[in-house]
Amino acid sequence: MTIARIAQQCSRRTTQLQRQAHSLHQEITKGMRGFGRQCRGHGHVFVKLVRHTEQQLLELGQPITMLGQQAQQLLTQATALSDATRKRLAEAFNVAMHSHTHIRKQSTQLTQGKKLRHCKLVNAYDLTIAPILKGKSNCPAQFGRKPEIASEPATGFIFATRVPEGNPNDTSYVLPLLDKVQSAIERVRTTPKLRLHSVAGDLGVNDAALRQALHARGILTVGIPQNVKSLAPNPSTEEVGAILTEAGLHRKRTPYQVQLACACGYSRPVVESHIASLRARGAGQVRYKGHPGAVRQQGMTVRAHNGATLVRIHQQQLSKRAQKFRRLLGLRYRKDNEIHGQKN
Amino acid sequence: MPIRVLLALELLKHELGGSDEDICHRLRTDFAVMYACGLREYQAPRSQVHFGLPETLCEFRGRIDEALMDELIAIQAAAAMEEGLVSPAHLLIDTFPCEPRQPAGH
Repeated sequence: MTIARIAQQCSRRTTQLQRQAHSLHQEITKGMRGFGRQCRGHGHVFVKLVRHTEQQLLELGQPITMLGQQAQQLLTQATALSDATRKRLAEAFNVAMHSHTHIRKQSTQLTQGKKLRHCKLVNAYDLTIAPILKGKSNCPAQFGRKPEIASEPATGFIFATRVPEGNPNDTSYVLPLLDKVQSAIERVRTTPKLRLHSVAGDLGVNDAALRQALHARGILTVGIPQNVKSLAPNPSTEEVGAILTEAGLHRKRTPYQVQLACACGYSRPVVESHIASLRARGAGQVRYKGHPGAVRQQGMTVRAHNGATLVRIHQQQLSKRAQKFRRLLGLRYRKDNEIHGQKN
Repeated sequence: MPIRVLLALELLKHELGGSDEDICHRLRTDFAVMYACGLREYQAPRSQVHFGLPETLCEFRGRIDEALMDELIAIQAAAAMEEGLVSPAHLLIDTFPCEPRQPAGH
């Protein structure tokens, strides 16, 4: 009898709890609708929330500037500290004050409702981190860095890398990157002198001014697409002639080089495998602090990747496509890894 | 500790995907790591302490700036081109996103 009563009470309570949970769930759904969809939407409520919170925080941090000036004066008067320590502390202090000024400025802009797509502050200790707006359509932006690489299509050897500050336009990184490749080429003492023939990229670097600058350097741009259509891997003789005429490189580049450039442009997605190799070595996540840290990490990862690539070339562990491309470029396999000593 | 050993450790750290402490530990215990660092002869010390401290590696890393890193990559690329292993004639350029490491618990 008692057990039956307890069971009845429990079931009644369960029903009540279920109703409460259901109503709460409905309220949450309503609230979430106000915020927009989880991955898409404008999120106006978030902006309001940020504005309210930041106003309070700005009021709270009002005396920081005055206190900072006082602290700076006290630091200069501190005789017990050595010059080196004082200098180090002053530098750290200036960096902290600069960060605060940046935060305050940005918060004010946000409160006034100004649009801040680029140079938005993400990390108070590293102002060079910016939203990555690559390939996003009305989605929350990813924050971080966007390192650039210039690699060889056959083996994936990376000739140059660059970690920009913030998130600059894609077209702005091509020429500085090619300058770095050129500086590496100038170190080579063998003859004939090596030269850059062509550059392939994605639609992000499709810019008329950039094409003109590359043509002026004698570099073909057939690998940079002008629309979403895929490039022709084997252009006809007329097409090759048209490409050379358009680039104004009739005397500088041969039809054979144009054909190779077209093949490179056609197989441009292979760069994803080079990026995957870097990611496998931890390049997808910046572990060191600040922009200098990101430069160090990226550089060391690229060097490790290049080392592994050179070992693969020595051991001939290359794909058929890579082997064919190397043959077309006139790169030979050297049997310098074999031991020619006596077996016994 | 010689600079070449520190540079090799820094490089191996990224190749093997470990921490500073891991790679310094392996310098004492892993013959492959010793070989890669150019240590051909080795006398086993009786103590169990590191002979390459993670702090030293961190300090060394802090002194590598952007110009030096560019130069190191250029030297590597030039050496590969000089041997005829790679050619800069046709290049692919691209960017990829990398995110800052999230603090533990996020």
